[in-house]
Amino acid sequence: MRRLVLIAMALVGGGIARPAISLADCGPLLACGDINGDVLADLADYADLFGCLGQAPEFAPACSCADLDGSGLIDLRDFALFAPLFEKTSDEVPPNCTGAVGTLADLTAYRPQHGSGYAPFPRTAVSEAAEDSPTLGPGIRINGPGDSDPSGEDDLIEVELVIDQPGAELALRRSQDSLEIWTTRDKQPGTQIAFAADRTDALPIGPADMSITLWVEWTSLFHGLAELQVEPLGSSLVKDVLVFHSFEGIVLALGGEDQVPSIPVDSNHGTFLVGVVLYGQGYDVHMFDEDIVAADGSGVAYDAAADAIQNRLVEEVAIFGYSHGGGSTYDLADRLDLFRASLGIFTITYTSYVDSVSNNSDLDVGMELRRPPSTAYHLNHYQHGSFFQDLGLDGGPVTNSNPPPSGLDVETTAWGASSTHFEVDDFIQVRDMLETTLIPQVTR
Amino acid sequence: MPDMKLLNVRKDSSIMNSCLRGVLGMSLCWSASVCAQETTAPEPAPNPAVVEALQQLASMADGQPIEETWDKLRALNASDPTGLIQGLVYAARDAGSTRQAMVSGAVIKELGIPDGAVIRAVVPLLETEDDSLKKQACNVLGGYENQSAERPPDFSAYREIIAESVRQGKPLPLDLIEYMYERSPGLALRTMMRALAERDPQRIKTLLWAEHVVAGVIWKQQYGFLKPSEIEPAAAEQLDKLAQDDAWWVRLYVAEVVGQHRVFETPNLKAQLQADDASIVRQSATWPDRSGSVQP
Repeated sequence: MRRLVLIAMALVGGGIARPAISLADCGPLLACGDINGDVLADLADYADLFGCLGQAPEFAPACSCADLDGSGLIDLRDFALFAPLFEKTSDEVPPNCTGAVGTLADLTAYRPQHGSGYAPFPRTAVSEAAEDSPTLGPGIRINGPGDSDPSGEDDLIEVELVIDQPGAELALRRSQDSLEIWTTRDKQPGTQIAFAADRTDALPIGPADMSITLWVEWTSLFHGLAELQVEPLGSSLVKDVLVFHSFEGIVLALGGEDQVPSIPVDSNHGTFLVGVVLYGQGYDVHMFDEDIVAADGSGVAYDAAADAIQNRLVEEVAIFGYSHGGGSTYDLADRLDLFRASLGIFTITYTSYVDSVSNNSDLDVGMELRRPPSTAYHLNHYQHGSFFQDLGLDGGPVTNSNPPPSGLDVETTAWGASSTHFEVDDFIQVRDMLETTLIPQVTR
Repeated sequence: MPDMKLLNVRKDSSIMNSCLRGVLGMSLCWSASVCAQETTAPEPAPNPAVVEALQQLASMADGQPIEETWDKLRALNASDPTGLIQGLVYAARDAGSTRQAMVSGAVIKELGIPDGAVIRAVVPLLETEDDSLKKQACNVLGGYENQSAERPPDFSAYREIIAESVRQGKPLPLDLIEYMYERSPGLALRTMMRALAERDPQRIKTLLWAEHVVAGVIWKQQYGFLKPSEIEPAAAEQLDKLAQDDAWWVRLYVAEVVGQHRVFETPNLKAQLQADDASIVRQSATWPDRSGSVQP
């Protein structure tokens, strides 16, 4: 989405959108005929053009982008150049418009992979509205040299480029050399697309192809934002842009006993519902069956966090879980805290329990009331019952938790009164609280 | 001291018997007379009455009256506590929902079944050739070991079971022993030393020191004083020495600790352990190909 252009727009009388930008600004940003910056030359642009008829950009700067031929006056010659572009796009920019029809090019990025695919998440596209957001846009893992990929390379981000003219000649431009582009997900030899001065040559789009799949890698060992834009081979007109943020945080979600992440997510697995939401909002989320966390905290979840800290420069860790997943949240945080000396600098910025039960084994039914070691913020939800109500499975108050002083007994609320252990994780209020408290605490 | 050399192998298999590695189905004897009496134990099966009662309990909605079912379980606990506990392990294995999965633990807590009773009822399940049941049994036992990131597991209950076998002249519970070695090779070595009644102070010191030196390297790796790829020569020397020991349970320590910390692996050690007289050692030394980095 070309937000930079849209930000520069202003409404000026008569309901007609007028560009509040100078001629110089108009050049590299807006294609011929796209006077309002929405990519297509359409009725709204026609209205803008009509509103500028007879005016000179010298005295009416808002009409600069309507002077398609650069004659110094918006007149019928500009309408003649606009006509062939109607409901199409151009690869040219004012004042050098010839009326030649250009290519529509749309970049779509996907959320991060896990192992050999996307499971336990569905393949999730970053929305058009979010794709150039520094927070909600595509996140990407630093692919450091020591990074462990036990299931194969999974740190590249899939990007699909769709065009409306087969075989169009397009190039990519990057804002910094942290980004590398491949045409294979596992970086097969000979499939890297080279940059020269941060711009590629023509992309390898076949003469009959209407799309190409690219894989983006973040190779530098520092964090930041990086733009990737597509433009015609012959000009620097921005057709579409993605803004990548390198992941500085990792989020680990642990379900309750016998809850296994699935596609689609089970509506009774509240922990994983939250995980899917956060994944869609630009976090590097990893969801697990809590059984993979041993009583000493070791296992796949620990390995994922340790690898992120040691090899991907991740500095913030968030962990949350329900029932036995809460107990495992404690065990995992305990191990991470214990082995800091070998891991590197990081903060457990956020933890959360939902009716947490200690998890030394599948048969452990003790209340987990210990605050996860070294966590900066702990959210705690719990309920209370009896063996004859819900097998007596309860979380409980945890000192120094949120809401203060020891968390929320949901049975003191109107929505959670008489709730049981087996439903407490599914309340929308509990899930909302998890999301709204995690987001300010954890950097994406 | 009894002759601890490998004297007999009841069954052999290329598949490893462990929570992590599948089923071994093998037993070692510590005396020929014991081995002569040994027979293959029947595969355990759950008590149908226990299964029925637990299914009823698990399928009930929150708050539904359960007194009748509860009375059945109390009666079963009185008449066949081992059967009840083993049935609870089966139920945990077969759970299809969070409620079903949590029933077993809730019943044990509500009936007040002592830890020792659970452990003694579950240990025999380690002999099963059913991988899923074995995995569940391992999981349950782990819950009674009081382990944390900073605290090693407590094997005192297992030590007593093994020592009891020695005192009574019964075959050693090999599946339990291998389970211990997988959980913590160093602690298993020390537990075996005590359970088998080692009395020679010099031998005890030799084993303790060797294990201490190796554990020191692992500790240094865990806390960042050594890289995961680094070891100290003294530890390698101790492992070489223990790999030559007459006792299979000492050589098993070497096989397990090297399997779990492949940085100790050398071609000579690997060849030696994979040609060991004791099949339990040979099979423990069938390490998978190295891949990825190992976290502390």
